[in-house]
Amino acid sequence: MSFNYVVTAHKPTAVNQCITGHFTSPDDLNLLITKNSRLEIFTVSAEGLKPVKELNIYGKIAIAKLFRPEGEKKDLLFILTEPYHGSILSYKTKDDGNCEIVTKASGDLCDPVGRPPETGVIGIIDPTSKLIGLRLYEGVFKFLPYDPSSEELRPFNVRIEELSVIDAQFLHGCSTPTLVIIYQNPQGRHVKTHKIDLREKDVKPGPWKQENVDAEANMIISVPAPLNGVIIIGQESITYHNGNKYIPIAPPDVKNTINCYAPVDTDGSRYLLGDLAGHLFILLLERDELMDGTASVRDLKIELLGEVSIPEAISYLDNGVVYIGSRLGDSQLVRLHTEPVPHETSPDRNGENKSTLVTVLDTYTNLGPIVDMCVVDLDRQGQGQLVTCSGAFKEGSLRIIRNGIGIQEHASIDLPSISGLWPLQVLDDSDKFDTLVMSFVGHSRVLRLSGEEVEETELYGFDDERQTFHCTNVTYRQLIQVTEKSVRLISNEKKRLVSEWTPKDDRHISVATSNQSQVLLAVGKSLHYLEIQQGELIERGSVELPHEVACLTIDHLNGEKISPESMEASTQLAEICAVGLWNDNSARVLKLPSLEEMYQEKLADEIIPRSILLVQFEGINYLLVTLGDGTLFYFTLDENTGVLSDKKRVPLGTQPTSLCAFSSGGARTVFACSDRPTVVYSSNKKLVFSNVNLKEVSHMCPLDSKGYPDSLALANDSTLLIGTIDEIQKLHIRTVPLNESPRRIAYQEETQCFGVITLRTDMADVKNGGSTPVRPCASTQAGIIAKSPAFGARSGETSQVFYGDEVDVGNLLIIDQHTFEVYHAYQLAMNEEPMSVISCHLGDEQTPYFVVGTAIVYSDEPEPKSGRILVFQYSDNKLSLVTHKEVKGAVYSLCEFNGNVLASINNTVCIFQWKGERELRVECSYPTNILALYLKCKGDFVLVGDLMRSMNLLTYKHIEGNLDEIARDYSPNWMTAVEIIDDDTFLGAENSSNLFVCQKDSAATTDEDRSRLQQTGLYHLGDFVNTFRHGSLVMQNVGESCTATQSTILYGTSCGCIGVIATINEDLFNLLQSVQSRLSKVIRSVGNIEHASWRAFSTNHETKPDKGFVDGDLVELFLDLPRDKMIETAKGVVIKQDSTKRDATEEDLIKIIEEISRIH
Amino acid sequence: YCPEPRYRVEAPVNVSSRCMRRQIAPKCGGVGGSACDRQFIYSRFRPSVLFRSPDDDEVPYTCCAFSPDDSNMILGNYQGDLAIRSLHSEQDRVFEGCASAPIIKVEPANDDKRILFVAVGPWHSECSIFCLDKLEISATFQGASYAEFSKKVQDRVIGTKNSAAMIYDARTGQKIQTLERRDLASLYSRNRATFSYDDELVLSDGLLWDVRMSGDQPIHKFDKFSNKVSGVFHPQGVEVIINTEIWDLRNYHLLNTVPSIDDCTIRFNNTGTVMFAAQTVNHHLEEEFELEDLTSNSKTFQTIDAQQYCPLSVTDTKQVINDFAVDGKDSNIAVIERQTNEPDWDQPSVSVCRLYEIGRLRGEDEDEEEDERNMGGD
Repeated sequence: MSFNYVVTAHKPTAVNQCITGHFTSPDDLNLLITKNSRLEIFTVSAEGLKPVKELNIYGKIAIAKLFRPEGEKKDLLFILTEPYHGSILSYKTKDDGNCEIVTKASGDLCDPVGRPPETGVIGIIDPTSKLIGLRLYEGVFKFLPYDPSSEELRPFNVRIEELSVIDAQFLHGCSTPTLVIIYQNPQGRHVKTHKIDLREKDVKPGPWKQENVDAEANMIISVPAPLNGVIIIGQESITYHNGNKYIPIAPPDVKNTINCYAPVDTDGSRYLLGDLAGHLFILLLERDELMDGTASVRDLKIELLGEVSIPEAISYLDNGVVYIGSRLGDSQLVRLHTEPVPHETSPDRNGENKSTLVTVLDTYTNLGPIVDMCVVDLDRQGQGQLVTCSGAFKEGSLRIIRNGIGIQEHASIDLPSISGLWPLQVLDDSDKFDTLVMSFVGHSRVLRLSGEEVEETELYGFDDERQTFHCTNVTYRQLIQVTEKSVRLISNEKKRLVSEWTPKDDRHISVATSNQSQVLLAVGKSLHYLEIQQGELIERGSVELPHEVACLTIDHLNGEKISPESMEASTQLAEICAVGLWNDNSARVLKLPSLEEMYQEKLADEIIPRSILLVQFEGINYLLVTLGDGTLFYFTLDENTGVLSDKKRVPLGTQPTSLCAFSSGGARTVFACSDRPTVVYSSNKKLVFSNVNLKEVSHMCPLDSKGYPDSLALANDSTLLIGTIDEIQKLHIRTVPLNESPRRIAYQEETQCFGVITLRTDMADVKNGGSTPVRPCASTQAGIIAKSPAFGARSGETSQVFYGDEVDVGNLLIIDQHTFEVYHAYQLAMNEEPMSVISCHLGDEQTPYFVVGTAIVYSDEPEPKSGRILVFQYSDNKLSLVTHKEVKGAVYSLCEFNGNVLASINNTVCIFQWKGERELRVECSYPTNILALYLKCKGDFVLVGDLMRSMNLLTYKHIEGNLDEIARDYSPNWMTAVEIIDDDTFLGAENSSNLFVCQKDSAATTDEDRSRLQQTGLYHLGDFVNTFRHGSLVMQNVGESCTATQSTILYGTSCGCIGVIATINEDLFNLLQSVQSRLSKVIRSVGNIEHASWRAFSTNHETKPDKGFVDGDLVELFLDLPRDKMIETAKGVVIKQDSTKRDATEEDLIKIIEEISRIH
Repeated sequence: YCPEPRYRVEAPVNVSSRCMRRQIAPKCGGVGGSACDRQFIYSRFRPSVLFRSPDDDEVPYTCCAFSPDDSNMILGNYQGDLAIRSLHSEQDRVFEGCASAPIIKVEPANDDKRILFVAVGPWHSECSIFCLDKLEISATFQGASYAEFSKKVQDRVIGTKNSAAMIYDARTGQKIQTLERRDLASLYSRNRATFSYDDELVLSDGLLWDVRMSGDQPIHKFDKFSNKVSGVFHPQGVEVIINTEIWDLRNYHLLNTVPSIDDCTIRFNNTGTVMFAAQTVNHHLEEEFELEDLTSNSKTFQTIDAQQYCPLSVTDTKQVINDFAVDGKDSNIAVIERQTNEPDWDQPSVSVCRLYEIGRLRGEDEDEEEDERNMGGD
């Protein structure tokens, strides 16, 4: 058996659909976006898009439509998932202010027979919102009358004669629901209307039809009243038609297929159109107002507005603002202008700035489609980063994805042994910090920051002969410094010490902290509370605690902004504080000013708390405590009672960890300083722990100075560092635009370069048979461009190029790993497409090579007949072609194999030996199945992923010098990616969005059983996996987080999702699986879709229940449940500990699930 | 020169472009991608395994089927024996004398425990179920000259006798129902009644019956365009194919005509997207050696796109085809080839079961081998 845990690390980002309406309330304008199986709900506001809710649906969302049936105050949402399950959803605000999505009706809409249409499903809602029309199978329309009283969807099927329906709409202005379709038959494409008879459940001929419209008519728009009629969008023409009137235009600007539209006005007079090249057009229906008050269309006008991301869907929001949903690139929020404005970003080919009617307001990162990726450790910190080949055509890019937060270093000073850091504002002329106080054992030092310069200075009234415990600006323009001897209050105006508080009997202060008007300090077991007034410190309370105080906090929960105003007068006082004690290792919440204990919580048996912090994230109060072993506990805190609840535990590092709160991008954030520095923040009311790309931080403070705005000061054993922090998010993504389609990527550590193969589309030159680039892109802007001599041209071929023809040009790009500058572009021959690239060592040589596999692709041939393997060497900034070898087909995949090159060429797997004279020679070849698309190897084993014959396993026999098949999976799986988990276990993804695991049974008794791979894991992922890579996005093996996961594999999908598959042990698997099955009942699915049916392995010929996989996305939802639901879930779950079994508590589950969730 | 227009939303014809395109346009690389895949895969057949009768036994094989898990071939022979031969090992099982005449059809049940077979002799035909657990005939369907299982749940068997269709209980062999209307009969010479894939309809002798309705009223009679083949249901449920005509089951319109499948036996691939057609000669068994009327078509099998009804390929077997079968994994087609080019006509012809791997090209050396043999034969 195999035991796997699969979880999403980065949600899908490729947009499939976007719609607008009034879903959350009649007054809200909402934008709803679907991304594979996710639905995101936003409200449109003057500030931009505000997220409301994100839904995870158990199925790929094929259709999402808003509609407003009679009697409803706001819109309802109809959703259809694949395979066909329909649901009608409405939005409800709960009493506690949270929102809820209510499933009003749902049902299975699958027919037992019928053929799903190749052109995709169609879902439309008639203008009166009484009827939903669906085309789910060829030749059949399914109609779903809206019934507010029914919880079940009760559709009826109607046969329509036209089998190949391209697009459909309901007509406006008809008394009975009337369908208008574009259909295709051998004669061409035609438009026809059908009246729907709801009583007879049948269709009748409609009011009009039009035969032989544009041969590539692919979209129909229904125009609302008063104009009515339809707009037919074709390849060469746009036509308005209403049965009587037929107005075609053939706009010369429209050269590419228009694939999406959005109405601008409710009266249907303007439409935005988007095409596959990323052009945005506006279509205007010019009208004649008639005498009788009606209107009719006079003419159509179309205008090019400008260029946007290649759109998949568009929505017009308001005030000239448009959402461009893209599947192939980043989505955008753009503004339309009535007058041309200069183009900011992309100058045209001649370098001139064009003017445009579209400017980009906001961009939403999309990793999809992830075509290939590699895992590299660019910072050499033992943490992987992903570099993906993302997007296609002009949206092609590389994306560098790093888990955690980066600090960009701006200055560093060699200063060993800093034991504390505080920023101060001492000078009067600004509201920025200008001074940095540093404490060392036995003394303190002050640095003045003037611009970017840093110099040592002295502060009036400051005691620099002692180690500082705490130092900060406080109210009334005063400063406070705490040393072991005393608390010193220094007036910033008078520039002298104005008050001092000293413990009795010359005892030493052990720990201290303050906010702007309150000081909390401990002298051994006694805790003292002081308030800061103008010129004086007043002790308001003190208490003897059972043990010595180890750490304390008096931070205002919601943080304070230190500004001149707040320093003028006394601000509001904090009403609670918290301490951590030695010996009993407890955290205690105390009331101010009495220091009366409100609550205590024991943390650990042996380990002392080292740092404690009160902080509010997204309106929720938390208490955070770290222990000497790097463990962090956090609780939610009731401000009034001091009660701590929802205890959670996270191992951060292995060393004592100190906590420091600061603000980043307006949000509260906590920096945990340790051997594994971590930033703690809140996202969707859930704490997120994100590591920082620094090795060790012992102290940290925020530093917003003139020379270093919005920066942080960080200290480790030897250095003080000033730097800025990335935008706070879990995965940090950097984009390197290529503006052409990347296909594969390989990393070469020795030369610190990436080899990326790309394809761009050029205009063919009629005269010389060459080509001209259409737009600047990575391969045309490389430092050095070399071109391959002609290769593989068909004999007797006369160049059949016409003006306007497009040709694909393939390149190998050499890209620097730091700057991502394209050093070299090696352009392949005409019709030669790059298919694969690796970096490898050949023979016994130390030199690394880039090896590229290509195919000579003629678009009219079913399969390439020839290709090449090219070996490049990159050294001293020079890329040279060392050798190339012609082969009989497309080189789909390459691997380094014991110093040789392993290649799959059409259906054959070959080993090419690297000879001393730097040549490739065929050593052996093995014909496998139909197309050997994917190869992975380990030792002498080769795993082959076939076009449609699943996986098979080959082995290299050294003595015979040949490849031999040892086992195969006989199921007809159409592979999209393969990976070797271990010597006996193999992972595959197939094209119906399923994952499966096969195992080799070496112990089987018969040859037949040994030669058969057993399917031990089956799972419907719901996304199309393009690539698997071993690796991890998180730091490996820190502290006790060496969980039961053995190895992790990352996957990248066409929807831009990154996920992790971890192999886990059987006990953990069984536990998580029982949690999963309970959660599938506790957490109700949107639309009443069964979790088990969503995850069942399902292709178009069979469905099998899932096995061998646990759905981490569902399991990790456990951590977000309220406590009572956690207890409900834990009931009956059995945990196995040291070979004894017992009932698991919710605490056990929290610990286990939090731990496993740390793999992503 | 005017190339067929292909637009950006359409899948590329070249398979390597399509594989690259499907990474950004799942799951087939664009509109028409799966049709291109079918064209690519179902136009390539590579002869692979050959099952011959054991050496000391010259009894020719007459029919074939794949076991439900596709790991065995089930073969019937000329003298009424059934054989189960493994595709992956040397394991064979032979059950001699299951019938007293040449077996012309075998159909294993999905439970892998029962084999329905039809044996046709000069004087009588026999339709029975052989039970693999008990190694005996468990039911015989009296009065039927041809029979097949119901499809969704194999609890019934439908038999044919001239223009009548008889439904039997598969366990007992009891006749449950007879569907016949002599006054409406099309009198196809090779009527073979068949259940639809949901077991609700029956097609027999040009008549469509709803078996859930009692009475003797068929729900439709299809126009008769030929004399022999009575037709099959399309596994995707919306069409029936009667000889060369494709009828829409929902409105009984004639959808399409495929002239090349005239007089052919039709089988479908696993997903119902591809039809295999060949002029099989099992119906001539009773008139041994009457092969004169066979055209060269009978030495080929064709594949036809079962969605668009366009031809995909024709594969020359160079031998007359007795029977053929397609496995459930889209991997192999098994063909019973009758070796008629034997010079000696005084002994019974030998027929073998040859597997063709779907989607694989003949290797270069294999082509040479074939050529050599041909030259020798000449």
